[in-house]
Amino acid sequence: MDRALKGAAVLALALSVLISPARGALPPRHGGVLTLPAPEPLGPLDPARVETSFEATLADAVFDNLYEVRPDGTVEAVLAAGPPTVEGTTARVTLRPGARLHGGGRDLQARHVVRSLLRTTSSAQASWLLGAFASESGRPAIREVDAHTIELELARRGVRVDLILAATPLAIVGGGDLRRRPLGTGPFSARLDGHGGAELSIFRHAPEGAPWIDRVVFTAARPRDDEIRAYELGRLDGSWQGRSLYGREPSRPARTTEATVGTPWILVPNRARVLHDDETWGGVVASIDRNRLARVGLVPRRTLNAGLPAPRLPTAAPRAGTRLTMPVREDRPRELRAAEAIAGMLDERGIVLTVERLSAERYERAIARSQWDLRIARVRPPLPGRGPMAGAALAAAGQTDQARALVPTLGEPEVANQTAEALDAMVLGHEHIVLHHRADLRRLSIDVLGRLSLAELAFARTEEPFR
Amino acid sequence: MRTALAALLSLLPATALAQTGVESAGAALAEAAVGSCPGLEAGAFAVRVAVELPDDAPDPGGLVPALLEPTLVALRADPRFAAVHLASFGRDGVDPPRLAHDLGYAALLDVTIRRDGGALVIEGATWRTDDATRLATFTRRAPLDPSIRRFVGFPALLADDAISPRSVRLPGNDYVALAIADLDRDGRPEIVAARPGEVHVLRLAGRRVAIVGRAPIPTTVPRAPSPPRRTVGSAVAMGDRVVLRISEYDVGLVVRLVGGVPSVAVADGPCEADRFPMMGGCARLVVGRDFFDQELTHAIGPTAEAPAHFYNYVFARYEARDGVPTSYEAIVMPSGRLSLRVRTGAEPEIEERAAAAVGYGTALAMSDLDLDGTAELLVSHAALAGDGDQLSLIRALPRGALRVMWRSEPVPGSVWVAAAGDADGDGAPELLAIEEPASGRGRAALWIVR
Repeated sequence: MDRALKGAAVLALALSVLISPARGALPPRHGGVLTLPAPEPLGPLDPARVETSFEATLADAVFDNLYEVRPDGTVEAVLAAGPPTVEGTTARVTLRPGARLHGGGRDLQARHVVRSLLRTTSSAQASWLLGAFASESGRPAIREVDAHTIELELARRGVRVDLILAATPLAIVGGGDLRRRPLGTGPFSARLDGHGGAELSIFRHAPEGAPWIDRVVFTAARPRDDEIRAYELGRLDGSWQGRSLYGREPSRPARTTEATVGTPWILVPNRARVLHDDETWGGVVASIDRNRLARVGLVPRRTLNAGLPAPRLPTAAPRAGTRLTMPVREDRPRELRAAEAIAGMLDERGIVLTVERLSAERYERAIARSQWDLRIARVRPPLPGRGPMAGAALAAAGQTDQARALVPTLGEPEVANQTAEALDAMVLGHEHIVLHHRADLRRLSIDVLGRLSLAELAFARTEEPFR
Repeated sequence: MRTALAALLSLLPATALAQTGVESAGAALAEAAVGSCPGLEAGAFAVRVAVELPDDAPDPGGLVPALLEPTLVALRADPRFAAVHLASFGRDGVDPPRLAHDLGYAALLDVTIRRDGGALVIEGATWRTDDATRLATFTRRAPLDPSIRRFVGFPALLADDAISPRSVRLPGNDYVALAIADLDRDGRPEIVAARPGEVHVLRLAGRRVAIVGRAPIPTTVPRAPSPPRRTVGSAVAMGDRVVLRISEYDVGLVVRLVGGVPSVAVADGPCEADRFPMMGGCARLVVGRDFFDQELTHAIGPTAEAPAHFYNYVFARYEARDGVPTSYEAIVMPSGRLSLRVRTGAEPEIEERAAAAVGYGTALAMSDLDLDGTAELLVSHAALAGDGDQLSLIRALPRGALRVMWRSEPVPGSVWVAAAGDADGDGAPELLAIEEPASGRGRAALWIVR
């Protein structure tokens, strides 16, 4: 009996050595479906027209650039086969062999790239970047040499063409219906439901590698309580609104990932109307307390980013009785809340600000026709660094021509400082993003542009039973 | 001479099929001996052999006929040599060629067999005896595999408490493939560690590694259209070269030492361009994943299919000291499961057994460290990158069981790759693994376990 017990003990010990949990190196787990609520309604998915962090997250997951800037600052070819060849002011980029588009796996060809770059001329966020290229018959001099080669005529010698092509708004759109089924080359292919939801599916032929998770489903944005309740019930894997209803401890293990991102919000005056003189505009500036915008998710900051000086704004006593109009897109709830908060602050000083909720189309029309006095704009720097931030702020403020002129000097900090100081807009603060999510979600991060790392996400491995 | 060559050629099929160290060394000796004979004239031929092996060698006398048989067959086929005798004379300062001449031999092949570290060294000299002129000399080295060990002695069996791991710093980090090979055939092995963009060729020098050279991967090597998110690599030694593949590139690569300088070129085999060389076959990545499909090509094992998808695959045949062959096939699955298949015996009586354990990582290497016919596996452990790691040395027993012999203290870095080979040139294989720095910056550590 004793011997049998001893034997069993030895066997148990041996098994425990073999099956004891260990630490070490195993790559992330493949597979799984993540369901998150959309933080905001979603329109067409176009990298050249990205405004919100949510849109930026989706665009990053679906599209790739010819080049990308790595965290260490180096520029690496993604859809390009290698660095561009530059002779004088002519640059040539060869496409990476075998790069495929979503939706059937057609090869990416030079015509897709040329078409994608040329279509950005109509985008305020992206068109200023095309100032890096010479014009030809009123269009940027970008042409297809053969199926795999693109030729770009530079505005002047010394332009870092690979860096410009790494700008996020210049990501390559391979076609498709941007409202339903945009075609890119990124780690996920996307299908938009037209009601604010989107489904991202793994693209195994992505040039930067397929994602770990098979699918990410974004359900249409919903009211706060509905969203949190669905999260608590396990129907959603995360919530932007809260960890639990009524402040209780969540019933499931939960984590919170948050970040203050480098995408400032600015208040832009229309100097062609009531705010034409510095005194009126200075009165508005003096009336706004940035700290009171914290409750709409903005971290108060005076500068576009840490390295740039604050814009030199006029200050004056508020002029009571001034009547102003601020159009806001009705599908941008955070902007609406910020606009209402600003209206409240101005109201305290006797300035009447009317916040007009408009559809996206009507909003665009109102801006184009100059039917506004103030508007909120989000600044999304297309590249790391001070110059791109200053250029993006100019573009967001509607000063596209000045932004365009800045492109050849993007790397010069002095020019960026001068531009930031001369910016005729008030920096309200920087966006703060919070996502509460299930605890077994690994590798979730929010980058400086407010993008979720969807391609890097993975679910935790579960213990496999010993067999 | 031509007849001797013809006789040697007739032996070549056997040479080509030589599987044991004794057969390979005997064939190499015969080839060298025949090649050293052109200047000899007709007459009797003496082959004098001196064996300089340690006193504890179990059967040094048995090694001589086993090694010399092909040489004698080849020389006897040459009509110039009326008689070819295996002889032993001329010790203690007596001049062997003169003594051979006095004994009536026109030619002498003087062979010395000795052990040098982990190799058997065969040195030969051919003499014309009438004027005591040395016509040619040659040296051949053969690794001490079990077939030779049976004559010169086996190492002590590896006990759990005799395992001695050590680590040395590597010059970089982010390595994805590792192999050990004698690239310049000088008897000193080189360690080849590859990372995207660069290959390092290193040599163990006491408690550090010496850099033999760094070779950039040519920019003309085509990039893979859709590599996995985690860079994956594999490397296998093949004689004086290492074939490797890194998922960032669309083709396999070969590393050589050319004039002492490492060079990297596109490989033309043995694996197809889209396959990664493994110890025992060639495997292809599952599309969009960082693990391999179970189908193998150029498989040396009995089946061309691994039991499941895998991060790493190893296959080898080892012979027990009593001569019973056993083959071992091990994989680490994407779930972190270590799976082993063991086949013992020879056709038609092969017994197959299997074993498995969970909780292991991507690094896997296999060797028979003490040449007893059982495989030892070096494996990393299962946890996400950045959470530290641990190494285990596991003995795969022929009865289809896994037994942990040694487990390291937890290490801060992650271990992704491992390899097997005689890294220090002492004739005994080691198991190696690379621990990447925990911070992702700095120098990786090379673990050497034996």
